[in-house]
Order: sequence, then structure tokens, then C-alpha cells
Amino acid sequence: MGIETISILLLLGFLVFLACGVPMAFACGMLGVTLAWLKFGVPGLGLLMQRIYALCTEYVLVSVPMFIMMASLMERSGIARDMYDALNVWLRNIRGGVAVVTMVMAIIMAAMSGIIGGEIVLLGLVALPQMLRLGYDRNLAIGTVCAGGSLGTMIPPSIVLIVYGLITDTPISTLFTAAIVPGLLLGGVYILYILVRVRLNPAMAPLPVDAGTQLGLKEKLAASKGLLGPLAIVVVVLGSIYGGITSITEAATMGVVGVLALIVLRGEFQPALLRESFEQTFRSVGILLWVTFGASTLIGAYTLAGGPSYIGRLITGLEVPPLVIIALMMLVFLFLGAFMDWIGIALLCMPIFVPIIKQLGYDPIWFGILFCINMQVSFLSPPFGPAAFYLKSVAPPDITLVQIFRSFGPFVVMQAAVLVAVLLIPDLALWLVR
Amino acid sequence: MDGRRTFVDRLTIAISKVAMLLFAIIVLVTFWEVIVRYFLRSPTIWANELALMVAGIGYLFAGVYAMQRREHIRITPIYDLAPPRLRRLLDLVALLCVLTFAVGLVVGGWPSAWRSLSTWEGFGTAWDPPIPALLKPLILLTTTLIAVQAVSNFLVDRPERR
Repeated sequence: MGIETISILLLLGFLVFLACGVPMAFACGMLGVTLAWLKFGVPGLGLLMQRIYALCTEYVLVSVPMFIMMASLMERSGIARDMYDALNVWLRNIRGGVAVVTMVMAIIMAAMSGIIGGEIVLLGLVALPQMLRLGYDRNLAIGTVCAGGSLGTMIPPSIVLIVYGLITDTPISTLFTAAIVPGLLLGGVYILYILVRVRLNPAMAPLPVDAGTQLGLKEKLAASKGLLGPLAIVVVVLGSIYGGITSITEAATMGVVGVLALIVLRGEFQPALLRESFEQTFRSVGILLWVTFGASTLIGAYTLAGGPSYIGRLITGLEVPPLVIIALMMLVFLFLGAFMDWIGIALLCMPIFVPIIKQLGYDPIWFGILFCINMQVSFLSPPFGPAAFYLKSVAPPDITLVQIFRSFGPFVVMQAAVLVAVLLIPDLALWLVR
Repeated sequence: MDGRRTFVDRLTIAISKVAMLLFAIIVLVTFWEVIVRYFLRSPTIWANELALMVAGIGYLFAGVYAMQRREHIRITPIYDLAPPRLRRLLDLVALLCVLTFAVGLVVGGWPSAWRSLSTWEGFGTAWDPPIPALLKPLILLTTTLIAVQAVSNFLVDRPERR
């Protein structure tokens, strides 16, 4: 069987199994095993086990459970609530202030941890009720929470970039640095959008009834205490990475220790809190890692069969400008992102795409950032955008999934705009890493 | 699920309750390493490798727990719309995928896993922890447990009993 036939059969099989509701890990695993066995017999199957073993022994991957644990501890403490109060005393008197507070919180939390679910849950619990209580436009409030919460994987640290770096053998701390400007740009554009929207239509964001009252500077500073803890954790995590003091895994662990220390200092510590967050970590890790194992089995077998170089020849054989090829890859990511998890997309596509990128003379760091922005879109894309489901799990019951997805519209447009900007002006990502 | 946990469910849950604590060990060990390296300037040779080994064991068993809880990521709109009999067929397709994956990995991985285990193969570093000797056989063991759990789920989740 030729590689063309194999490629088509794999794609078809993959789509059929996914449509049938087979868990992605095992849909991939089954196809990988079948291909390896048909093509190379039992020794081929042995190589697949080796790939899983190789993933298990990647030290940087240990940072993933650590970031998850950090977020699940945060969810069970009042740290986020205090951060909200601290920012709110400064911004409550401007129109749209609470939405801006939400976005700033999202950016700070994104710099503490590298995952998306926990952040959306926290913002959904802490900030969304406040915006709804004040009578903010629902779409604005929901979109702000979900788009902001998704920044968790855009602003360093980011597990999307960790996995990208691992798969493509790109230095992860360089990827982190390159993500700073695009990440802040995205957050900045969101804040600008909020301010402009509520200025044009003040009814979208009523001011609090006691908006006129001015707090003294002393009171404001006293309330700002709530920011110290989170900022200290940002310094510990990012400082350890950029200061060259620790590896990313160690930095993530220091973040866990930092959040735990805050919880103890705040008097919130209970054995149940630890037990619950260990369980949550264990569950999330099981889901994430086995998708990784399954997908790497499939791509491993496909690579042995010569798939990536076949697709590479196919793509570079196209008589189109290189930028069109990049744009096509972006469309593939956007399409896959609508129904697949980011980690599956990274594992399945990068071994095929990144060699092409290098061959065309582009920087894989830049491509990683483009991928990361793409995944921001995928978190908000119907029908499976995970951001919507995280929010749904904590939002008031009268907020439907349809409404959540509808509220994402303007934010997806902004994400696409930033994606195009970084695509056309690679320096947005690369000037910090030169 | 409640009230009719099979033997397999109980086994998975019991193992998971212990395995969950592995990630706490990583925190302790890594924190220790950072402290002694940064403040006492005497790095250990074992901490990072111990964390790595413990994490690997954790990842593997976490997959069994996710199977017991039916939490492995899947796309369900068609499944949810399907009538019970078709659903049963789709369950069977999923089960066959899991079984194929497990049989393939175990058959193909066995020679290498057995070699690592029987020679107590080390990681080849100064401390030389038995990472290959433990993780390779555990990959095959946990994949088998996932397959067993999948069979148990298939038998428990019969539509007429829902």
C-alpha cells in the first residue's frame, strides 16, 4: 500500500472514529497500532511503546501536572477574590471598570500559571457575578471572562508552548519570551475593545450606584494587599525561569509551593482542600497525557511509514508563495481547532508542518507563537470550544451554551486580527528574542 | 455508576487513591532540590530524577482512572443523538479501539519491557534510578488495566440498566 492510500485511509479512519465518539486517545492509538503492525510487524509496535516511554521521561512535561495543581489549589482559595477587590478599588469609577478588572486579573493569572480551565472557572466564579449584578451587557461580560481566561496559555508560562517546544525541539524559554508581546497585545486589544464599546454604548456597563464616592488613597492602598500574593507568585514563577535559577518544571513547582504558602497564610488550609486538588490534578493529567500518548503513537507510526516527508513534498511542490502555505496551515489549525484538543493538533500536525516551515526558511519560534494564537481561537470556537464549557460549569443556569458562544464573536475577530498581525509582522513575536 | 461498582472499578479507585499522592511527592522533592541547590549550593543527584520517575508512574495510572470515570476526551454529539441500539454499537467500536491499542502495545512492547525489567535497567545517570525497568513494564500494565476497565465499563453501561 502506497503512502497516499495510507494517508487518506488514516484521515478517514480518524474522522470516522471521532464522529463515533471513540475517545481521541484510543482512536489515534488504534490507528497507530494498526498501521505499525501492517507495515512493520511486531518490531514496529515495539517502537510505539518506546515513544510513550520517551514522553514519560521528558522532564519538562512534569511541569504540566504542576501547573494544573497550582490552578486547582487557586480555585479552592480566596486569592482570586481578594485580587478582584484590590483591582476594583482602583477601577470601579470608570465605565466598564469591572470588565477591565476582569481582564487585568486574567492577565496576572495567566502569568502565574499556564493552563486555561482553572482561570475561566475562577473568573466565572469571582468576576462574572459582579458584572451581572451591576447590569453589564451579558455578551460583553461572558466574552470578557472566556477570552481573558484563555490568555492562560498565551502569556508565559504556557503549556501549549511547552508541548510545542517538546515536539519540535525548540527552546521553550525562547518561545515564552516570544509570546510576551503577542500575549499582551491580545490582552491590550481586549481592554481597548471594552473601553470603546462601553463609551459608545454606556448602557452596556452601568456604573455602581455609589460610583461618586471616592476612597482615600490610604484605603485604596490597603485594599491593594490582595494583589501582593499573586504578583509574588508571578515573580517566583517567571523570575525562576528567566533568572536562569530553575528549570520550567521547578518554577512551576515553586508556583505550587507559593500558592500553598498563600493558602496557609490566609488561614484557608484544610486537608480536604489538598485532597480535592490532588484528585483534580490526577484526573486532568490522565486525560491530557493519554491523548498525548495516543496521538504520539499515531504520528510515530505515520512517520515511520514516511508520511510527513510525503506531505512535505506535496506541499512544497505546490507552486504558491510560502506565505500562502503558512496561511493554509493556519486554516488547518483553525479547522481542526473547532473540534480537536490543542494537544492533539500539536502532536499530529507539528511533526509534519515544522520541517516544512524550516525548509521554507521561517523561524519555528514564530510558527509556535502563531500556533498558540490559533489555539486561542480554538478555545472559543463552536461547537467544542473548551472555554464555553468551563464557563458553563460555573455560570448561572440561565446562561446557555448558545449565548456563551454567541458572545465570543467580537473576541474571535480580535484574535484573528492579532493572528494576522503576527503573521504579517513576525517581529511582533521575534524582536524580544533576537 | 454508584451502587454497582464492579470489582474492576473498586480496584481502579483503590490504586488511584494512592497514585494521586505521587504528584504531591513531586512537589516535595522538587522544592527540596531548589532549596538545597539555591540556598545551600549543594544540588542533589537524585531529586529531579525521582520526580521524573514518580511523574511517569502518575501519568500512566491516571489514564486508568480517567477510563473508570469515562473522562477520556471524545466528541459526542452524534453519540448523544443515537438511539440506544446504535449507541451500543458505537460503544463496541470504542471498546475495539481500546483493545486493539492495548494488544498492539503489549505484544510489541513486551520484549523490550521484559529486557529492561529482568536486567533492572537504570537511567544511565550518576544516581541511575531504575526508570526504564519500572516505566516500560508499567506502560504495558496500565494499558492492560485500561483495556480491562473498558471491558468492565462496556458491560456496566448497558442501556437497559440505565
